[in-house]
Amino acid sequence: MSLEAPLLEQLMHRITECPPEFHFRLYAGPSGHFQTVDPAADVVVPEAILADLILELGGRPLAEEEIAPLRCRKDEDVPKLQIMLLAAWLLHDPWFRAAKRFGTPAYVTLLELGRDLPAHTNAEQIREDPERREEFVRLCLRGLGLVPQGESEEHAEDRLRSVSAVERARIVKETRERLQKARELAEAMRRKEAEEAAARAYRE
Amino acid sequence: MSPLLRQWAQSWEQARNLWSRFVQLSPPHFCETEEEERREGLAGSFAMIRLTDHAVVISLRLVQQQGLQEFALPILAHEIGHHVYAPGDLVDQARILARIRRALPGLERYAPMVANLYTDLLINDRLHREFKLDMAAVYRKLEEGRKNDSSVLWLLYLRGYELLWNLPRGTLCKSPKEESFQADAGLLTRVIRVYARDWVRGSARFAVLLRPYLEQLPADSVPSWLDALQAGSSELPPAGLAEEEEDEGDAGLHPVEDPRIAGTPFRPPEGASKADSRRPRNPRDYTELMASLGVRLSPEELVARYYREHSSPYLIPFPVREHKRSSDPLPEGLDLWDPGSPLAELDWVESLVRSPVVIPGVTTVERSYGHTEGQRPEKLPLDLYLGIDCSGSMPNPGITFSFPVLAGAVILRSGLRVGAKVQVTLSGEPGRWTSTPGFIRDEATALRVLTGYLGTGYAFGILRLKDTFLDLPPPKRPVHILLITDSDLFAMCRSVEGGWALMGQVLKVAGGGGTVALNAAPNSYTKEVAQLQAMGWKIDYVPTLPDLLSFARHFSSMKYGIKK
Repeated sequence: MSLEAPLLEQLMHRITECPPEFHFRLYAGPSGHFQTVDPAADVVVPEAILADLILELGGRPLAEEEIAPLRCRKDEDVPKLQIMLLAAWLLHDPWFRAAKRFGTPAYVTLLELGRDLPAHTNAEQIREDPERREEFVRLCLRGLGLVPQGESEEHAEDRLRSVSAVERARIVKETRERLQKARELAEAMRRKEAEEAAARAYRE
Repeated sequence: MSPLLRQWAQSWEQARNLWSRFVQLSPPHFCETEEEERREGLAGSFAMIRLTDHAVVISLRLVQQQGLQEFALPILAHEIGHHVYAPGDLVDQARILARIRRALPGLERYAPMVANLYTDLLINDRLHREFKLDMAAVYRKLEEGRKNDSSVLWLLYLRGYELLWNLPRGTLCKSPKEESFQADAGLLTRVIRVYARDWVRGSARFAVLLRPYLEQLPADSVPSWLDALQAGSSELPPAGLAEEEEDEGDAGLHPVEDPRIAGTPFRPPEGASKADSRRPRNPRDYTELMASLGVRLSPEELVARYYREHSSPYLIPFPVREHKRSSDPLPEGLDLWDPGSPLAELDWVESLVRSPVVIPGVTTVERSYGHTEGQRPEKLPLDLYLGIDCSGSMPNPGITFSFPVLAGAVILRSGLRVGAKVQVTLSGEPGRWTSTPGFIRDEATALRVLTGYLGTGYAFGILRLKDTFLDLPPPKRPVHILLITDSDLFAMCRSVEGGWALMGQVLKVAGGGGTVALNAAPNSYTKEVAQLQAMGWKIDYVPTLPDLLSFARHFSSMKYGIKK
């Protein structure tokens, strides 16, 4: 049974207010920590931000082996890192912190978002595109066992499926395969008809 | 005034202000009886719009019957949306119909309905999201009153609203749970959102998505709220549609093949249609497009309009001859006045003396004047005799694009523009021929004859020249004869007794020179060509039919019938 979170619109709005520190262009520095393009900004230590978030959400301090999957060391990890940082900004909302019971599900959700989303979208698109923003908020809420205020569990799940980039990619792939098959079938029929017509003409 | 009429009339201004305080639209025509509905042409729906006179028509009788009394604001705002957002005007309505028709080969009859559903989705989504109107409540009410089972198309449409407005599944309809249906509903919402601003282009994607649902649409299934089916009903086709637009070539693309919707780059399969540059729309497509728009003109009139539009960019300075200007006009007699001539030249007194019943072009006359010779030169256009070979070897201009007809339209309209009179004769002989009633100034009649088709015989019948120049009194003004034909003309000259001599005689009587635009390889038929040239004919080789357009452009630089 899912519990009601704040209004969806409120959380989507929070994403748009994400401070610039969370969306600076990042690159892996020599020490293994991420540097921003802004020389005035501090280096970003993602695992520290994420571990602090888990604590504030009521979780226990993370052990070294739990921190390891949150660690990013290469430039290729930047999209994953930026998505996790955006999720951290969303879940740092006072409502989640006040509940003091989302530490463990938030940890799992961060790992899932970092694993699944970079193949389909990125942090910039999530901030800019309302549909991606809605999907992101819904994924975070589902991870915490919540539904947006005013929605039933079934409605929330239905809506997530309809806005999901992952789901869309699957639909697009399947529809393209279906179209391709239909085209091949039509082409085969056209060829067969032409062959039959040619054979008929030869006989006559 | 009934309370319902008062309530709806009061909501009009509020509905208009939702879009903008500056929207200028006359108040809606509210119909309270079936008689009033019939007079307005309202049938099959409780509301409709007309783009031709920017009207909104509401049947309060049907509003009451369907229990929609309380939805004055959303319904009126929706109708205004058709005028200010989608389609907005007749041209954009035609542009989306052109794309939808191309996306639905074999199912073109559904194009007006698909265009209506598409623009409704765009408008309602905006009213719901931007103006916070409860559009879903209108559809819930409409669904309550539905007697027959909903088609899958209608379910897809309603499911689209549920997804667009984040309504729980089942709010508007009981949609099928099949994954392909739900996937299509998801794609439909993507089309509406992605193309909300570039909606003309998005119309083709929408139509392709609906295609499988249209194929299984029961004949008696009609959506409850179709208000723009007859939006373009008029007798005046919108201009600018004789050519295809660049993106019409990719109208058959499925939404999943569109990177803007799929969100991923996609390489279309080989052989899939690609976007073309602007090119002439096929004349038959043009006439069918106008018919689906609701233009009430015959196919022949539409074909004439089509070539008129194509010829407009190529109009040329028409050849003129210099005369000594008269110092004193001398009234000489009466000529037939036709509706293409200036009204000021109509001699009312003489026309009424001739017949108390005035029939323009039949009983109407104008005074003709002679001149005493003066000193200042005056430029007078030559009248034009345009003879076109319309035999079996020539394409039907109503079905395929015809360069001879286009060239003819360019020259004919250029002549009329400077005051020339024209006679157009189509001839495919032995067989049929048709002609304007003599030399006229009525562009519509001349174009209608020009764009006709005979498809008989093998060549232009030169006896038609005899009919005009030898059998009738000689023309009062010099006439230039232009024949657009191929080498079969020479065979016709040989087969008609005294044919070659006839060609020389008519040229002399016409007095304005003659040109043969000969569809043949350059320097071919030298003997026959030399024979015509010796009589004074000018021969222009046009090796391919598209070269006729270049010929028309150069026509103005020629000097006709001027003795050296």
